[in-house]
Amino acid sequence: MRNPKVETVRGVNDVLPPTYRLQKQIENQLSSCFQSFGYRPIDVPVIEYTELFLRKSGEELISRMYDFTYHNRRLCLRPELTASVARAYIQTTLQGEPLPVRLYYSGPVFRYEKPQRGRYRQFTQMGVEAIGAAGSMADAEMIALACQSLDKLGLKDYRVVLGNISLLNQFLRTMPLERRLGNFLLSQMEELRKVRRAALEAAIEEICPPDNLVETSRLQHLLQGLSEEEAKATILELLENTNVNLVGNRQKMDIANSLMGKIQRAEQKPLWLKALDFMEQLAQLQGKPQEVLPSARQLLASYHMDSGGLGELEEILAILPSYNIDSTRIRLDFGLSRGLQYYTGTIFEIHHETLGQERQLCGGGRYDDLVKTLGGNNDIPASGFSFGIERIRLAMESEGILPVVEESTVDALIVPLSAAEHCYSIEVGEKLRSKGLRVVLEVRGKNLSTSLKYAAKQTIPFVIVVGEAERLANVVVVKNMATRQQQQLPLEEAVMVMRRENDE
Amino acid sequence: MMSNLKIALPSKGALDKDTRQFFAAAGLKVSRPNERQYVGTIPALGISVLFQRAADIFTKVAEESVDLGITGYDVVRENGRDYDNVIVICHRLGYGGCDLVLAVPDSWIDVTSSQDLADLTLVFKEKGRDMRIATKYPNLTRQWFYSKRIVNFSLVEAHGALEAAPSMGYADAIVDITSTGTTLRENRLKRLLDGNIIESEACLIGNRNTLKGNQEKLATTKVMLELIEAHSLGKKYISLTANVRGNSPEEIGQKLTQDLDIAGLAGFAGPTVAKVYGAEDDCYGATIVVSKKDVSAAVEHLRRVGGRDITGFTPNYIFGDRSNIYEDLITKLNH
Repeated sequence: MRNPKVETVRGVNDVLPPTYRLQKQIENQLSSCFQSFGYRPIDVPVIEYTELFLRKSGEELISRMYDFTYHNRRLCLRPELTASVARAYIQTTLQGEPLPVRLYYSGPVFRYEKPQRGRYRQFTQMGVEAIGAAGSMADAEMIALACQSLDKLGLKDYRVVLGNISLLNQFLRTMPLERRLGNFLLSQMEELRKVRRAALEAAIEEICPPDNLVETSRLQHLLQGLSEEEAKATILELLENTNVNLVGNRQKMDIANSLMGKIQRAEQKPLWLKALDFMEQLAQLQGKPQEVLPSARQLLASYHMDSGGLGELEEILAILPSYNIDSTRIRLDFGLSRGLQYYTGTIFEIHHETLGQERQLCGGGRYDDLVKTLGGNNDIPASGFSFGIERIRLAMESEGILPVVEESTVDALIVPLSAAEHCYSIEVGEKLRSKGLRVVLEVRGKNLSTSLKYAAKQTIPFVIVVGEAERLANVVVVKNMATRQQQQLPLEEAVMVMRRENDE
Repeated sequence: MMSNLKIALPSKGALDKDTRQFFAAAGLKVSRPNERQYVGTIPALGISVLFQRAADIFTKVAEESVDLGITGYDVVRENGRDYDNVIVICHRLGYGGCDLVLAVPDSWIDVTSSQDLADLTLVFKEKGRDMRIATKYPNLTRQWFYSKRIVNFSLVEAHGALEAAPSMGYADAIVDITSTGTTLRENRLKRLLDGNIIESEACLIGNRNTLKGNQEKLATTKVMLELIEAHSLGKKYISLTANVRGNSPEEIGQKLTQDLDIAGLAGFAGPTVAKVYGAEDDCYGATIVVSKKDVSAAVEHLRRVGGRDITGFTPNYIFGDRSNIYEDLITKLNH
């Protein structure tokens, strides 16, 4: 009986040679673009402490992480690379280098998603980080580099969507909104356009039930009119007298403080309703820059908010033409939020017109707090972006511009006619390889006619036959598979024949 | 009758007893020759039975060691993600009910909802540690926390008595199943107001690969499901028969059905009326099958038309024109 098969884990793929070559070719082109802007390659581990992503990546991403405990350490497979690169910067000698430090990376990331076309549980991200540079010149470089990279690949039907998360951040910071709720709202900017507002409100109430204060309200009643000190003393006294048996490592004082906090907690619903109103208005602001900017300015003025973020966007828009970026590709969208919590300013995405739901090719932005959050010495501004390599391949496929991968990767097959020629055939092979040819040896002891069929199937252009006569005369028989012609030649000449064919 | 169908049933505890009762009531007595042995049969259909811990039954079905299994819905939800070959054939069998809940120490008077818990995780975080949750249900627990957008917590593998974890100090809170809440209370734990993670009952699962296309197994499965379904339905109804005086069966039938208020009290399709051959020439027997909750209203209704000597019994089975559970199963197998 045959043993049961072991298959791939759901949602991940084997990448077979043709696709692998294509992706490597794409990555090589991107690398050369990145290098032309002075970015240097870095590689970071696939496995990290979960804590790295808990710090700032956002609940949305965390809930999709491969997160596990192994030998008492909480580890995860990286869901993205920016946090890892920032960690590496802080942890290594990079931190001593003059700023900005420009780095690029490429590698697999892992997210527990519902698998579908263009969305897999392992995929490849390739991107750049510029650590230690703030301002519109740095932001514009990011966007320009991303666009030029896609141009270099020959992609045409893409669109750059540009936004600035600081507007929403600034708004949310002005009110005593629970952090968890604030983060949720940040991550829901895009949802707001997809789902009805009522559905979003229901989701918020699920996270933050409006009326969970039944028990507290009784207490609140009891403590009304007392000063904070008196109230706390009363709670402590209550705890003391009711003989509450404390378990674990919470002290009575902790509980009293927390209860006070709960009583004083501002009712959240009016706050998030107000935030949703603002978000809905922000989400309306999308389209051509010259049309969107004035309305954005109006909106901020009506909320008495600082419009610094808009100024930055205008500067970036003014710089981009110098990089030969086609301005008709650029849309402003203040409903863009990117889901990751570490962004602080300019953010952008690049979408491909033909890919539907999975249209995002690239995403990035400014993350000025991340280095500090991860324990870096100073406030170090930074920005970056990353491409989804598989998505880029799909986009190129849909535009019909995938590079043609040569069918055969082998120039010649060497067939020894008997065991006596084994050593000689290896010698021939080694010599041909040293001349830069790609050569395979018939190692399975098959006869000549089987070997010729094999060569035909594999589209190997030449078969080199060595028998006793050739070994003794120190020559080879070269058979051209296309013309069916064969001739006995010294090795040097055989090389020339094959090279000529290769060059044509 | 012999069949090659295999089913895994819970080997001990309340779920074992209730499952065997459930099958016996449907006419499928489970025979376990020796309590220390882990194999048995359902002689009526020649089904082989493997007795396993409820928690292992999902795995047995997933591994194709058995075709069918009965376990808690909680177990299925905990283990079921990404196992496309395990299908839930019947998700509520009507017994073995319990809730998977999050419980915190009684003394946490400041924590009554998930929102309070979320706040507390941040306080813990500021003090440099995670809130530790002890559970045997890591997947459902993680999902629930994430759905509440709480990420600063860590799961503690449960050893033995979970409820004792907070007082023993190796966890701060627990996620566990409870049916009456007694054990939680005795361990000075309380549920959160919105801390119900799932409601569970005993459920029937099957393996897609071993069932699909196997006519012999499906034939046996069909008989089993028919009996279970018909018995579950039968339990909900009562058949009432009364002696009624009247001039003709038609007259009695009409009396029993004319009043529109009595929708549902005249049987599935209407009453069955037949002559009683006794001393009185004008006596008929009228039979109606009604939902158990309507029994007293139905008795009153029979009395209103002159019914007396009313007998009632629960039908052991009610078979419809087809087996819904079986047809669902076939749909799921082909999906």
